[in-house]
Order: sequence, then C-alpha cells, then structure tokens
Amino acid sequence: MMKKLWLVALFGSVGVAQAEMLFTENSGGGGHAGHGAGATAAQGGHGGHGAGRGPATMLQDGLGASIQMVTPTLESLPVDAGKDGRTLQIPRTGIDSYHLLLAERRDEKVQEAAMRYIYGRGKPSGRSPSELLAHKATVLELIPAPLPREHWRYESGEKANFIVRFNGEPLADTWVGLSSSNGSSLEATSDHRGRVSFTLPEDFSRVVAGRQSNPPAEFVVRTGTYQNGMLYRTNLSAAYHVNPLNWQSNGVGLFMLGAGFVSGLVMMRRRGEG
Amino acid sequence: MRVNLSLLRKFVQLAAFVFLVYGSGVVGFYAADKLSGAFPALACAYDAKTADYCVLIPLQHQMDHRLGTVLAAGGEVVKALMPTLISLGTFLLMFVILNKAFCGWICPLGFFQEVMGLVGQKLGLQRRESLPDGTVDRIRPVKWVLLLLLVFAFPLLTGLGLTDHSLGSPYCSICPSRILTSMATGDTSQLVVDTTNDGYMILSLIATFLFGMMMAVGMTVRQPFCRICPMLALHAVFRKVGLVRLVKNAKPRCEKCGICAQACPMDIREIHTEMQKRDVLYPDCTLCGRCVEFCPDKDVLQMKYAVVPIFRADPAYFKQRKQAQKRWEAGTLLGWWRRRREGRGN
Repeated sequence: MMKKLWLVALFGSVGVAQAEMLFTENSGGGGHAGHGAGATAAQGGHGGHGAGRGPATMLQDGLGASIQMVTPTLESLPVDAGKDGRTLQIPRTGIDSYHLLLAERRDEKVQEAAMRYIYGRGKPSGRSPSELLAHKATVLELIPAPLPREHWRYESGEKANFIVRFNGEPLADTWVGLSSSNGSSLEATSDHRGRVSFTLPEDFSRVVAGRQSNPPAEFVVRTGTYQNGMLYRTNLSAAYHVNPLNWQSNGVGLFMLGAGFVSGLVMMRRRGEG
Repeated sequence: MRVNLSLLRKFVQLAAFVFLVYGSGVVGFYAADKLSGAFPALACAYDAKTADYCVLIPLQHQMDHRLGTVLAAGGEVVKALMPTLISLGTFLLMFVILNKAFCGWICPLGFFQEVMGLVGQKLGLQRRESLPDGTVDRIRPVKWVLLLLLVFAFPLLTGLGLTDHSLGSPYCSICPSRILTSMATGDTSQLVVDTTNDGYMILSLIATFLFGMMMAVGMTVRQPFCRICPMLALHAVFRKVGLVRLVKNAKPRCEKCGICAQACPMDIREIHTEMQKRDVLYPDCTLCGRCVEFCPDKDVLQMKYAVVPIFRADPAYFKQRKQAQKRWEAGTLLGWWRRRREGRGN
C-alpha cells in the first residue's frame, strides 16, 4: 500500500507537473527486429542488420521538455520534436553504436527526465557503450547494466538489471518500478550498489514461431527520489521481445545431442570392427 | 632436458580457452570492447562472456546484409565489399603473428576435442591413431565446401533475396563452438531445436546432432571437427604469409620412418612422404608441433618463427617424449578394470 502511495506521489497527480513524459517507438516501421534491443530505434537496425529506416521514436507528453541525444563520443546534440511535437527528428551521427535520448523538464518542485538508448548505424566508433553508460547525463539516472549487445535483446522471462544513480553516484534503497505495455507491473528496491533486477514479464498474449513474427512490446522502468525539497523522477523505456524458447526447445536439443553422441559411438565401433 | 611441447601447448590452450570463453571481464562486454572482431579461431559471438568474435561471423553477415543487399539494389560493389576487406585485413594482421597455430594452440573447439580425445584414451576406448588414407582424402575437401557454401555463398544468396533468412549465417547455425562456448558459461540458449521454419529447424537439428557426434567421435578419432572446419580452410588460403613455419630437411631415413605422420592428429601423411620441398605447412596442418616432437632425426623437422628455429627435432627429446607418451597411454580405466577382474578370477 505504501508503495502504491509512493508511486502516486511520484508519477501521479503531483499537480505541478504534467503527465509523465516518455519515449516510445512506433513499431510500424521497417527495421530488422532480429538483433539488439535498440535495433529498431529511430536510426534503423544495428550495424549492418537492417535495411532502411526503423520505426519512429516519439516523445509522449513532452511539452516544455528539452530533448537531446548523447552520442557514443559523448557529444550532446539537440533533438527537434517535429511538427507534431511528438515525432522526433533524430540527427544522424553516422556512428555505429548506442546513443542516449534524453528529455528533461523541471519546475520549482519537480525535475523529471525520460531516457532511451537507441542504436545508430554507421561506421564503427571504436567507443564502448560503457563510456556512454558511465557518462552522467542527468541528475537522476536509470542505467541498464548492461545494455544488450548485438545478437542480444531484452526478452521476456530474462533478467534485466539497472542501476539507479543520483548525481553520478549509485543511489541505494530506492523504489524502482517496471511496467509493460502488455499490462504487467513489478517493483523492487535498489541495493547498496544502486542495483535492481527484474525478470521481464512473460506477458505476450499472442505468440507465433519466429523472432521476426512477433512485434516487440515496451517496458518502462521508473524511479524517483526527494532530495533537498525537490522531487526527481526519471524513466527509462526500451523494447522487449518474446522469449525464443516459445519456439525453441532445449529438451529436443538435448535429445539430438544424445542421439548424435550415440550415433558417433556406434559409427566408431563399426569402423573399429571393420 | 627440454620442455614437453605437448604439455606446454595444453597449458597455452587452457589459458586461451579461459580467456576467449570468459574474457569479457577483462576486455569488456560490448562489441567495441572485443580484441579484434575478426579473430582467427572459433571464439564465439554467441557466448555472452567471450573476449573476441571469430572472423566467420562478420564475413557471413557482410555477405548477407551488405554485399548481397547492395548487389540486389544495384549499388556500388567496391563500397559494399569494404567491410569484408576490413574484416579480412584485421584477421590477417592477427593471423600473420601465429599462422595456423591459432588452430593448434588457441582455438577453444580444438582444445575441447583434444580433451575429448584424452577422455577417450583414459577410458580405454579404442584410439584410431590414423584414419585410412582414402577416408582422409574424402574428408579433406569438405572444409572448402563448408567455407564456400556456408560462409560465402548461402549468406550472399540470402542477401540477394534468393534463399530463406535461415541461411543468412548458416555456418554459425551449425558451429559446435557456438554450443560449446555458450554452454561453458552456463547458458543453454544455444542448445536448442528451433521451429521457426523448416530452414531453422534443419540447421538446429544438424547443429545439436553434430555436437553430440563430435563429442563421441572425438574420443576415438583425433580432432574430428577440425578436419572439416571452414576456419582451417581460411587459414590454408593465407598460410604462406604467416610467420610460424613448418620446415623439413628430408634425409634418406625419412622414407622408412613415418613416425611424424603417425603422430599428426590431422593424418597429414605428406609430412612423411615429401622429400623435396622444405615447406611442409600443408592446408590441414594446425601447427601443433607433434610431428617435430616425434621426429627421431636431428633437425629434420623444425618449427620456425620467420627464419628463426623455435623448436627442432632432436633424438634425445624424441626418446624422452616417446617414453612419456608410453607412460601416459599405459593407464586406462578399461585396463584397470580388466586387471581388477583378472585379479579376482585368480
């Protein structure tokens, strides 16, 4: 009950702030859904894995927010919210790596931020995403630990870890919530290193065989803290996908391994007898 | 007394296995952190903790997502080939340093097969020291076929839109190192049969069956998968530029001997039969050095680094090594069991 009240205080009718601003993806675009969590981001699929532009990245309820993109080389570039004030015009950096989209907004009592890591296509930068994750971008941050690398993506049923940071330092004993666009919600409290861990919900109602046949859903991780009379609240959004174990079988894989092993023994025994 | 080269190699292989399979803690987790992204041995990108990615994965992706798609769109071929040339260039920079010794000293899958061989030997299972010449000759072209079809042709056809997406990286789909290295980190996500479509299902059935078969055959035949590995073929293409060499100064006694060929885990009989050429680094060689260890005549076989000899055949070493091998092979579980039963019978 206390957590619910805390959640309302942080993200509900604070009064002074508008509705929660949040980065989302319109997944109707053409990127390759098969590789990397950020692979379907605005710049379209990760290095060499997608043709054409990916789905558009939007900022919901971002009225009055300043939006920027932090590049793998830690440059900050302004991002235009587009004619509709929602569909982001993301600058192309030509660098093949993760970029951070950050929207910030503040008034006298509340400072809020929305974060999303997107994958940009281009030439290899030679810069590790670790540098981007270590870079302090805003006061209260939710940092993926780690971001999925290529051939990887957030998947239902898998662990996803995050670090809560305040002024660049881990923030312990802080409430963190995760909600999915499929209707699930989870809560946790950060440990002494600011870390929280969630098992992403298995909440896809319709699953068909194949990585590319299932559209991703979205999850949002939220946290907040009061410091010196100011409420800080931050969210981090990302896409997550149906766990491939829905159409892949470990049991049959193990059986085939056993069958191969026995066949190998039989084959060598016959050769030996021959 | 000289160091036992096979023992030294085992230590190097073990260290390389640990580093390549679990090395992300040292080099970093993300692709940009890895050593090269085009490693000349089967370090696998599907392993969450790997220190580097084998060159075969970027080559397949570049055929599929770059060259194939650009050709299909009528784009500029030279520009589309640039990533492939960069990957091959990176591969070559590393390959030159150790040449085919990346197979015999560094590859995690090569080491695993040797461990299976040791297990087979200790269990007392029949060890076929040499496959028949005819069998070896029939196996040899397979690695070239796998390199051309699975690493280049099918991914390219997929990029052109002529084959199913399941054939976009077909070598990775069947590679035993993908299953081995991911399982070694406790990740079972690669030991699966995938029912996405017929293509994925067939490839995953082949992969899991092949892995099991390789384990069993590896206990009785030396290096079964190495013989058909496309990495061995890729190494063979560039072996003349590598700095580690295998050199033979043939003597008349060589014709009657042949211990070097018996010692060779890849059954390269030409090491024995070649009497003219000095360069005996054959396409199937993994530069393990066993032929040099088991050559009884002084300096007939030599491993050289460029022009500097680093390990030479020596009669005293040969005697010592042969005795050590005999002692090692004497103790088997099956032999112990038989002796125990005979003891009871008396």
